[in-house]
Amino acid sequence: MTDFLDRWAAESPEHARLVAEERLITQATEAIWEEMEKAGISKTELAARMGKSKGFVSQILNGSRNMTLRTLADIGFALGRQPDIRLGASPSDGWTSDSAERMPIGRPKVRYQRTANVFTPVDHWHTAA
Amino acid sequence: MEEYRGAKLTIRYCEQPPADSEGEPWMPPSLREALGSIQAGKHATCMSQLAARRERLANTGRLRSPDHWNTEARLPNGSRFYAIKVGKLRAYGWFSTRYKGVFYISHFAFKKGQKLSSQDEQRVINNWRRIEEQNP
Repeated sequence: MTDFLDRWAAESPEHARLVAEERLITQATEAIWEEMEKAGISKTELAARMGKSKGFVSQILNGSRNMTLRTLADIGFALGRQPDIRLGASPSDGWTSDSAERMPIGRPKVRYQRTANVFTPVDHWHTAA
Repeated sequence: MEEYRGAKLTIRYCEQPPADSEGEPWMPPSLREALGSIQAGKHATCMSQLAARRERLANTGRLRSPDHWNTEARLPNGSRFYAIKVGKLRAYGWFSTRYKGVFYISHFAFKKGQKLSSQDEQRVINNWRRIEEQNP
């Protein structure tokens, strides 16, 4: 099942890129809040541990100020946690969600390009794989 | 049905597209109206933040940041309803007791003042009654 927000994201590469950005920002800020809740630490306390102002921490956590990797590391250090960075597959990578009536059934035709004796799929590489 | 399924929750919208609009671009009318109060240049940011936050809610079952989530007024059964926050945009909704694992989004609104407006509160309560008490 999909909704209008998924369809909006699929409208253009620019929309998809923006959602990817916001997904990471949401994941990071929610993870920080989770650790703050577990440790019983307020924004004021976090700011004090980092040697920064409460305003700075507020801006980082509400997304109005860009969070650098250095700041993320400092927040992790202040909370006694180690950020875990991985580059995984995109949530929509290889998957399509739509109504059954609109889903094509069968394998799409795969086109290949040849370089010497190597054939590389040009499109539908998930199917080719 | 217009809904988004995550690992923990399904986000379902009280506003649904008309039956004859299959394949046509659609967004909840209340969201379209709320976006009318926001600069056109910021619409894409609002939509992408909304998409990311509803995805997080659906996959983890909750939002923790007070910049993303707010507990709002009481429903007739004594439980609370909530809001996904994107700047001054709100998606008001509740955790359904009738449909397990469903978070209903009543409607979207642009929040003009500090307090929850009585119209928004009443609209959530009306939708809650329709979904939780009346519809079979």
